[in-house]
Amino acid sequence: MEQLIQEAKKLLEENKVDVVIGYRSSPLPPFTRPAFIRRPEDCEQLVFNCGSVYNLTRYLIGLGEKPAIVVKGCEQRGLVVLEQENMLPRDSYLLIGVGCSGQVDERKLREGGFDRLPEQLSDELMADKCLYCDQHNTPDADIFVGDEVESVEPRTERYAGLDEFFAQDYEELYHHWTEVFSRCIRCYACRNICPLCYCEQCISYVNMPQWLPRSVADNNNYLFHMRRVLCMAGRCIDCGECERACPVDIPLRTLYKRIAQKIEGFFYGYRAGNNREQLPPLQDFNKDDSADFIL
Amino acid sequence: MADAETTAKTKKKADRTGFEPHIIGFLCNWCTYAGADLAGTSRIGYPTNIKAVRVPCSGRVDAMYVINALKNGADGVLVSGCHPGDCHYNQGNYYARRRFMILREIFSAMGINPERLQMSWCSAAEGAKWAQIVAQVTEKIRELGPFEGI
Ligand code: SF4
Ligand code: SF4
Ligand code: FES
Repeated sequence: MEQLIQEAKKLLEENKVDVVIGYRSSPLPPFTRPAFIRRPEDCEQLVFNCGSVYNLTRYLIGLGEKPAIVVKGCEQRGLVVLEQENMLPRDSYLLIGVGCSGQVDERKLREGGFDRLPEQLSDELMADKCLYCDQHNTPDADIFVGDEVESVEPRTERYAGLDEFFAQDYEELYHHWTEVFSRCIRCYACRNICPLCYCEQCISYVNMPQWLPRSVADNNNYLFHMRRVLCMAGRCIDCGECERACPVDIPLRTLYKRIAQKIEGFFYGYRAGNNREQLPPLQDFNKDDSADFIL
Repeated sequence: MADAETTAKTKKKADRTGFEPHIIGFLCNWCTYAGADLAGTSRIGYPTNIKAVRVPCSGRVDAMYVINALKNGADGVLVSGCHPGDCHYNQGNYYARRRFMILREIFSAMGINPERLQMSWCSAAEGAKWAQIVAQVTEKIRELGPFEGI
């Protein structure tokens, strides 16, 4: 990634930004680590490869320095949502765009019994979001480094299997989710890593009144996660970070995607972060919204 | 486990006889609440299963209110506001409509029957309609039985 290094150096030397946020190699290839580069001579550390899994946009809110940031195509959608929600003006950061043809899935790697990546990242080891990705090159980039990825055919469907899964009756679904969420240890990693969870006082902290009891007893976890689905409705960009961070492998995105699928159907093909002009569904309304459930 | 499940099921059956649903109604101050008042002053009877909470606008009803009502023992929730175009704050009911469309989808995805969340438009002049809505909702929730989730 010679070009990335050169561009980052230039930005720092010319004092255009205070910090370049990107990836650097880690002792566990192919994985990388987030890097905060403030001196031009450190730019050599920057890399971008199939182990640059982290969504760095999480760092932007409240950073206090002018950053340039390496952002993959899928993650750029989150920046659009943050802009629509007046949390992060577009001119507060420089966007370094890259072409990404897929990221490795740590879990698949582990379960496949690999301790390192085979020569070429195959579909079997790729994160599922990459298999149906339709935004391999970062749009709206201020600087684009490296080669653009030529159009790649999606191998799976974005909402594959959801209709079948959610065809179960309510009782079965209820049991399924209570059981799944009973594993949750309430570490809040899913919330803390989400690029769109920025509330300083998260409702799960509020205790006057306490909307969400904190113990993992009873059905409190189910309740917490219902609230999280609600928070993500119409906002989740499907970056996959929550599932990656969860220490007990809770398939959170099954629910987030289901709601995204419904919202796409209800609200004129809305997909979070796809289009600046189209407001998030809960910030907006249309007089003709379907209302067949209303008495 | 199997035993516990059967007991739970039989218990549910037993509870159903003589089951009177608890329904929490969030009523907009400017229309439905006045409509319910009108039903009262006009001496139109309707089921007493509904407990009314007055809110300034249907748009004020946070999804958490609904979830909390169900969590704390309600079997169903009714949100009622002004007819589209009549909201005192012009847009509150449009936002509410979207919010509860989505909340109903979340309920069905997580295994709660979305019919437990009902919504209606009812103006200050529609006392009779209010009585009819409450009867209808009570019947629906009665059919669904006691809410045992969350
Ligand atoms: S909920 Fe998960 S997948 Fe969605 S934006 Fe947040 S971290 Fe990414
Ligand atoms: S990351 Fe997993 S265990 Fe932690 S709070 Fe989220 S769902 Fe629960
Ligand atoms: S004022 Fe009645 S719904 Fe807004």
